[in-house]
Amino acid sequence: MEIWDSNRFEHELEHQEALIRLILEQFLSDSEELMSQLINASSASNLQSTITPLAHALKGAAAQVRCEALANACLEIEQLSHNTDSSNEVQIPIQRLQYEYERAAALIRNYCCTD
Amino acid sequence: MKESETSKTILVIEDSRTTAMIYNGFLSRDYVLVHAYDGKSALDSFRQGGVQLVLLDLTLPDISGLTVLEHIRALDKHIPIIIVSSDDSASQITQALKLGANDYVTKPVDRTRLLVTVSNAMKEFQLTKIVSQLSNSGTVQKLHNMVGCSQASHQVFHLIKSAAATQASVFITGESGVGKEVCAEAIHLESERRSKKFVAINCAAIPHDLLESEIFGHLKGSFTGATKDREGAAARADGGTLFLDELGEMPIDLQSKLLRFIQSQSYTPIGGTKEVKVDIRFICATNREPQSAIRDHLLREDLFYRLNVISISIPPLRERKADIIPLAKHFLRIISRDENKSISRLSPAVEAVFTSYSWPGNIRELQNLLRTLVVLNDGPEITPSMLPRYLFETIPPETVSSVTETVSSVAETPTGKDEVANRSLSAHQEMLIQPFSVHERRIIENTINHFNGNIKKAATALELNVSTIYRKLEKWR
Repeated sequence: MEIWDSNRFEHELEHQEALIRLILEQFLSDSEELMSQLINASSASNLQSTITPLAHALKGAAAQVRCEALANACLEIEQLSHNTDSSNEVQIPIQRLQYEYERAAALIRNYCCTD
Repeated sequence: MKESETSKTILVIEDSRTTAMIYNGFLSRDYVLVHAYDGKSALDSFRQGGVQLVLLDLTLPDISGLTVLEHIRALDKHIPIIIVSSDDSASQITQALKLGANDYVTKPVDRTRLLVTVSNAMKEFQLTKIVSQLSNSGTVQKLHNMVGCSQASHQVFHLIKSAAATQASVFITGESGVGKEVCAEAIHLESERRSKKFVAINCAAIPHDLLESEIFGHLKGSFTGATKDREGAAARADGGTLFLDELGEMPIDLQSKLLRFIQSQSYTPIGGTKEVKVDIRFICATNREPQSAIRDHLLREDLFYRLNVISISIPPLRERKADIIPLAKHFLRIISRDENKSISRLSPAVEAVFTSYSWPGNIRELQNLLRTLVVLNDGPEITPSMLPRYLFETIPPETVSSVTETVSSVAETPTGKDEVANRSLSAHQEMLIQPFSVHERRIIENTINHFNGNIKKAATALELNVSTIYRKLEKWR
């Protein structure tokens, strides 16, 4: 599964460089905020009302910037939090999400700095 | 980009800023995008107008996307609404389509798919609009007791029909005399509730102490003077529509009781212990700007937002001059028939005066004037010499001179000579010197009109006793 399909993303936005950078910077800022809220919420009791909307929001944005692996990790948590209220059960998926987030964010940061 | 697509505005309702920016990247070459990040601000933006298509995410932070869809569809039957959501389950799609969505695109959105979907929906909408404009423009439309020829009236008629198809509460605003109650009744008569009662209550016309009983009814002995059980408007309107006019005049504590009543569709009559369940559609109105009434603590904010699901603003007559003559002809026909008179038309000069006059009392003033003219005059036509002088006060000089010429030319004809022999040729000049009693009557009648027939308010504004006004009205009658 691809971490970030930058070619498809650039193609869809017709290689409008300034706009692409603006969107990616917005995504880095939004996703950082959502990740921090997700980690805080993962130890709370009512997962469905806390984690589900956060995972859903991050999934939507990640999929739209073509970070497939990160979107998938969000989907796993979204589905799990629908069916369980045990914070223990989401700890490993949260770690996986953190891992995917770091990988995608690193590629995007690198793109924004160097390209 | 095609020239015809230059000013097409899309309302994007999407809580993710990143995603909203990407849609902007996809669509901003061909369309103007307006963003709303939650349901409430989306509905506010939509109500401001100018939107030609809605892109709607189903998951929003405050209210559900399906609720937003329902509200927008109630406000506009034709606007294209495209659902954009990652939730692509069959039940969601079916529900959204049932509520009136035109199409459904799943996330992550593919650029080409989105452009094609938006373009198709836009083309269909433009065609619908062109067909509607071609069939409506300049034609006199009638909707129950409402008559209109202007674009503004046609829009109000369109809103009435859209509102009638739903159960949503309606809030009507507009100056005194624009026809708020007629509009409310038209919604009732267009709706499936038409076989049940339309009950109208004017909160300004009923003393505060009696208003609660008027709405909810009372049981015998519940207060001094309650000598027998009395059914309230709520009971009479069961299955139908309850119209509360001048809502800002309702005491604020009664407004909170009304809010509970609207939410629960149940009430307890004064002095009663048993709750009565009803099924009522609520329509409210005010001639004040609602936000200023809220600021002045005359209208509860929560009640306003509960009622303002569909808002209809009826413009004053001076802002839709195209309606003046069709309305005048409509009333003339009815009044002549009622009064058994043969006056059936307005002379061209009268039409010019009517169109130029500002009608501060709106349609009610026009209707009252025509009744007076029909009652006091005979013949087949209303002519300028029959008109009261104040109509000439605010009209432009060029209209006055054209009217004066018409009166002069009438005087030259054998029949016209008799008709106007004892009248001044220049109505405008005559207007300047008149007996005080004529001015007095005009001022009092206009003030009563302005306050929607509320004599107490008119008396306060004129710094007169209520009894003085009643005495004068009796004398003039």
